[in-house]
Amino acid sequence: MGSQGGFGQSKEFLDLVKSIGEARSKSEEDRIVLHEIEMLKRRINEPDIPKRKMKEYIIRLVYIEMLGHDASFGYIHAVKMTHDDSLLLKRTGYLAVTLFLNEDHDLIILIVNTIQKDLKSDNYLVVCAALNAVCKLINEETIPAVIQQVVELLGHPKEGVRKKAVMALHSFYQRSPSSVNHLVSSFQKKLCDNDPGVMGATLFPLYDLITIDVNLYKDLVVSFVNILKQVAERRLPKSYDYHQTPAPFIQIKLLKILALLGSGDKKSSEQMYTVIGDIMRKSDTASNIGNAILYECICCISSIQSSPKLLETAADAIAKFLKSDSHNLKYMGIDALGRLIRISPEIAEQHQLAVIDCLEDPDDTLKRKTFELLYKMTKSSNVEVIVDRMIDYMISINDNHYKTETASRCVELAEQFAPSNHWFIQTMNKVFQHAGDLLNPKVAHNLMRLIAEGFGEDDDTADSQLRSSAVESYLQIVDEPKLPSAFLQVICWVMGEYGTADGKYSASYISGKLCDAAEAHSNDDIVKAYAVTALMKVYSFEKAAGRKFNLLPECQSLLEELSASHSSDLQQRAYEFQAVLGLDANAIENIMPLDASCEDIEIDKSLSFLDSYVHKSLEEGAEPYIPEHERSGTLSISNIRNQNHYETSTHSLRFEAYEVPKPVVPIGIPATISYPTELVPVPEPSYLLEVQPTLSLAPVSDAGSAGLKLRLDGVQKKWGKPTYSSAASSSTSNSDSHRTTINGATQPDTVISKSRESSSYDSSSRRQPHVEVSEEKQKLAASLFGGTSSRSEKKQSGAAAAGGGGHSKVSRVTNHTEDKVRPVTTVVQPPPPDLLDLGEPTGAMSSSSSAVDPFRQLEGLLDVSQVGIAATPSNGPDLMSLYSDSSTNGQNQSTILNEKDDVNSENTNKRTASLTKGPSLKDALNKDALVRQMGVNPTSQNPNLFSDLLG
Amino acid sequence: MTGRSLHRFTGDEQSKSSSFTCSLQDAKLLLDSFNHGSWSEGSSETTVKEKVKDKFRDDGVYFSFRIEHIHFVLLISRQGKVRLTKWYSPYSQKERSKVIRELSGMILTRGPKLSNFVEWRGFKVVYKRYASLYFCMCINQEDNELEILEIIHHFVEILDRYFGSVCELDLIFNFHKAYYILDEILIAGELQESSKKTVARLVSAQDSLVEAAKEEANSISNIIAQATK
Repeated sequence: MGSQGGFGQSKEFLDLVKSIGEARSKSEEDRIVLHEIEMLKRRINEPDIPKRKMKEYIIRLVYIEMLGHDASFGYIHAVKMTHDDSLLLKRTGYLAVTLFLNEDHDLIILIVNTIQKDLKSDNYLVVCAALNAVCKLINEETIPAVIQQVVELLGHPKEGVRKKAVMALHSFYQRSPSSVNHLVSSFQKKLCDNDPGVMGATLFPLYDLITIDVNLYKDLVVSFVNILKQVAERRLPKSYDYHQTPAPFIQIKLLKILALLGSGDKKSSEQMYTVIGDIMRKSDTASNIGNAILYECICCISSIQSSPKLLETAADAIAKFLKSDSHNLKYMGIDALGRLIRISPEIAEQHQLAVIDCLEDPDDTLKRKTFELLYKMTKSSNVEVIVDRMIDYMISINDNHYKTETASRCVELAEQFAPSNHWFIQTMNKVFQHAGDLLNPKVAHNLMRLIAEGFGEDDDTADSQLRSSAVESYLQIVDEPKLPSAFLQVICWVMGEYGTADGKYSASYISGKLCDAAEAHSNDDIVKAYAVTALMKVYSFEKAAGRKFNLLPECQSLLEELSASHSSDLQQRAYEFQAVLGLDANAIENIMPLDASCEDIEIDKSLSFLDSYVHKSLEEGAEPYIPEHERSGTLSISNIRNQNHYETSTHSLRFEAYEVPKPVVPIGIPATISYPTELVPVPEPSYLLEVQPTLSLAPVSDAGSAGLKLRLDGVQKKWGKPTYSSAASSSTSNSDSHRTTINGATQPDTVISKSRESSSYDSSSRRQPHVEVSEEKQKLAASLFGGTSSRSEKKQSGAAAAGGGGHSKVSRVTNHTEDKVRPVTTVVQPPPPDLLDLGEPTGAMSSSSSAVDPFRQLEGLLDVSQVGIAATPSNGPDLMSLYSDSSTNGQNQSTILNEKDDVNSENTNKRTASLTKGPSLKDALNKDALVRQMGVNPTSQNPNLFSDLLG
Repeated sequence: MTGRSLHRFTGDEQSKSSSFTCSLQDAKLLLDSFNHGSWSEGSSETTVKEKVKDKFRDDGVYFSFRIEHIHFVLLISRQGKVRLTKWYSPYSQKERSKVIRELSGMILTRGPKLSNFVEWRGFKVVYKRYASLYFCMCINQEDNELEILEIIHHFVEILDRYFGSVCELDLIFNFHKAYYILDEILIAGELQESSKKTVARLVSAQDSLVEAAKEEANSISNIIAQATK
């Protein structure tokens, strides 16, 4: 077995690993791997490959796949290897297929048979290997093939097998819940298994089952509480201890289950109080795992119907988390706080300063979590500060996913809590400006609707103020480069609709801006379409009002350009624009009523104006319309499918043949009397209501389908100008019913000046609190948390929200917490130097004396910070302590070493040497020598390769 | 809101604009993938999360619980080289490279004093650095990060015990053994065994069997060799 050293692979493979390790760039690595793939492709298909060789090939395939390349050409060989009798090969085969194949891969079907066989094997290791594969590979379709055997394995004498069988059932459950539902009692039995490992594993499927239906498992609360109590009292074998904590992972899982069971259930919750309280008291806050349990307890407390005492304990624990120096704990504290404020909002207040510290922390993860917390505690009193902060943050990040998330949160909060229209518009502008294209297009349409409708108050002046301030702000923004398309659409629409409404800006000014916008975004057809429609509105309003105007030259040229556009939509808009301009004022006023976007449109769904036409046609012998659902031909074809399918089929391709039009016997005259109402049966009324924008089109398609049974809806949509001419018969009376809507009265000039004043006042008052906030955290605290406290800040922040900025500024300075805050703000430290950065190891190396053992040096380099904390010169040999929290150092080490003993007694090889630090160094040196022998040069690139991971 | 005609002149635009912004976002994604990865080759495939979501959206029945606890385990060196990957949720090969590229870009650049958690596409990645090797596990938003941190440490301690003061080289050359060990600790994205002793016992049982098989094979081949001499 051409093995070299202790690594057990051929020279060839070691060379491969080595050369990849030395590759300087991704492209070099790729080249090596591609070469390897070529070679393997050739070799693996040779006949009569010795099995051991094949095993190595498979492992090399795994390696290739791990590096991100496609090794699918060798999958089949891995599958074959699972059929082998030798456990060694079988295990390799199973390992490879679990790594290669997803549960929906075609080759799985070839493995199922082997798995079935192996599950019956006498050798429990074979069964284990097969069960590992079962967890990963068996999909919904193949579950029935193995489930019976897996269930039988629950009674296997080896606990390792029982445990894996439970986990396999857990994975079945995740794929197909119904397959495991009948096994609930088996799970409950396994909960009492002698082996704690099996019991622990059983918690996973039970957790799944409980998530689905809590009520079925209420009787288990007592058992879970008992188990948790026993675990916490260290009744489990010592080997389940983890850093002196008894079976922490099992405790955490149990707490998760209890959280589910106690949610909204006072009686169950009460049974848990004692045990949770005990665990929280006992938990070791110095170790990470102790804090993990503590955090899980808080989650549990916030989920169940808690007692005030538990809530208090939870609040204390959170306070400890937040005060900790560790970023991890702060993060958990913020998260826990977010959970707990749902039940007791007043907790947030005492932690305000800690929260603000986290908000300004250099750690982005922590910052983001804190924004999540703020988002949860937003209300109308603090919305301005929070949203301002969120927007600043949103602008600062590049990650699209979180930019979108933050943007939509801003929008949501602004829509929900906006203190004033003006603030709302300004906020939306900012959000759109920086993340417009990431937002759901719906948001843009909501904004347009909001501007059009106002905030629902019946105050016309307020609405028109809103519009004027929107127009004004848009006029300022529109010239900026690189505006997102969605935002430009909003701008164009608003300027078209309301640009000239208050008379402050002339039509030529607005239209000039619109032309500029269209020109500046000449490759964005949608923006151009919005702009040209807006222009059309502006000019028709002018004309309708009887004012003289001249088409701007740039507008003229834009029109000419668009008339020859490749986009038929733009073309049509341009032509319509020209046509509208040619009409007289009266007609225009009917077509383009001022400010009519919010008016209700009366829709004559029954198309009663067509009655006489239909009547006449029928009298002349035309076929009467039969509603779709009554058409027998259609039914016979689609009766296999349900109605649902049929509805969708109207919009998609139909694969069935169209029904032959049945010669219907003309119905007598009496029938026609009731007929008109049936003419347009409106098969999907919901469709008509939902698709509001295309409403005007719907009658056309219906009329079309009545006449010809051609499906026109799709076509109409595509060409959809609201001026549908295809339904010629509908004539002007129809279009009038859509268009003739009453104008909102034009605004008197006095309003304008007023609105202008108020807007400038608003903007100045807005800025002031913002500047303050960045200066002093304490003020931020007041404005963030002020709403929760019943003290004086509340009033002030309320005043700020109302727009009285100047006043609130003064009063906020006198905030009572100020003196307390001072020290906190000054303690802000610069970010610590990057101790672990090993960018230039050579430089660091040269500074230390050369006599020192190189490995210790490396360790020192790696963990300078931790060594510094422990502050003991003899720290070098203390392997584990370098990692772990200082207080538990000694114990950790000893347990690990003891346990190491066990392993060593089983494998009596060189590992006895690793009992103490000295030999372990020797161990490392051995490895070093070995590797040097193989030609890997440690100093060349990564000296850390030789340092112990735990060192 | 029904009966209003706000979109009188915008109705058809709406449908178009949505499709348009989609394509624009694709372009952005493309750009991002160019900017992010250290060795990036841009590709405009849809993001992993969208893929995963899509997968679940179709069969909404198990949307809420089909998702594994741990989605994947990654071992990356400080230079961004992959040392071990294990995927518990389905990812295509392309997505895998993208995930690794993005995460190594995010994690390797983080300072030492920051938290061990990174939020990423709606998931959380818990990582811990041991010497020059980063151990990363990807979990859901609502999971307990500290617990995962300890699972990582649990894994490292078991590796340490198995290899005897484990170092990065052990994992480089014996990645398949590391896989076997990982398979004893995590299964289907869940922690299956929290006792180090039990894991050690199972792994060594397998190893000893393998040794026995080897010896047997050697002796047989020896016999054959002798016989054919």
